Amino acid sequence: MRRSRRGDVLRRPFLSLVLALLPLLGTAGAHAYLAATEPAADAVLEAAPAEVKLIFSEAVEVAFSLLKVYRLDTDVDLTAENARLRLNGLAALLVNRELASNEPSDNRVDVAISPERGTSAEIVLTLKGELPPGHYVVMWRVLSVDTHVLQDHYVFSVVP
Amino acid sequence: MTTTPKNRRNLALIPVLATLLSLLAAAVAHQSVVVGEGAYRVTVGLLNAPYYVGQIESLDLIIRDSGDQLIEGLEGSLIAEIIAPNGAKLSLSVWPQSGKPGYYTADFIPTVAGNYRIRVIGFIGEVSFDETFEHYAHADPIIQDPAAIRVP
Repeated sequence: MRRSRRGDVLRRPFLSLVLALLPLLGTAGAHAYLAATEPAADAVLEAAPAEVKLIFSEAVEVAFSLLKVYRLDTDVDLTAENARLRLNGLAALLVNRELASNEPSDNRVDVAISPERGTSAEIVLTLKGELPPGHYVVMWRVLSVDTHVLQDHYVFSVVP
Repeated sequence: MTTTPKNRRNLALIPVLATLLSLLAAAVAHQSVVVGEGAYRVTVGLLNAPYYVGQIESLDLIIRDSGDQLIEGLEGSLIAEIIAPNGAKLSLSVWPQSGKPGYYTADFIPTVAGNYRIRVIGFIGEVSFDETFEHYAHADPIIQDPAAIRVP
């Protein structure tokens, strides 16, 4: 059978693309994820924590990651119907607005990060002292060492 | 590479194929409603048409703001309810579609042919909504009996 060299030329880029994508398919389900947090998601605390600890399944590049804690400007009553859905809806918009923002905000309550550079699976955010009662959003967009970007958030509440 | 008439013909096929692919994607219908007095648009459809009894169907739920920006991170504030033709209901949490911020999904398995309704309850910032979608697919009934395509 006579092979078409012109056809080979057209097929070659597609073959290269398929070959490039195959390894990605194999690793798609194995990216970093958030393994544990303190306080936990949806936790209701009697006293404000001094810090927030995030533990990922593998190390993240701190210098290329964003991690923040904000106070939610709302007085949602946790005993009300759909309180969790309502809080999460408010938190999601806050994350969309603030995570990548460089604008200072009075509602931001984290003051330090540890470690400040390098790679680590455990990140600790030190919070302002004596946080008032309310709802707080922990938000992050991290670059894991496998180069995958992970973005998410959760809410905890302080109700004395 | 030498440009020949045949090469030019083959290259000309690429935009045609791209257009056909986009038309195929558009043929999978969705239904949108505007909520929050125009603040957000909620769009609902199903992935992987056509839809048959006994198959896993995946919700395609998309949230945009009035500026057409996709809103991500809402998986904790949205609930989807699948309503079967006989009124049976299944409440589902949704999760983000991989690599598509602002797109959410949930799986269910329809067990009878007919028109299923999809109710979405949610909160986006200060906006709450409760909408039911009936015309999210180009098929009647939306969920088909697979007997017609079964062999042997």
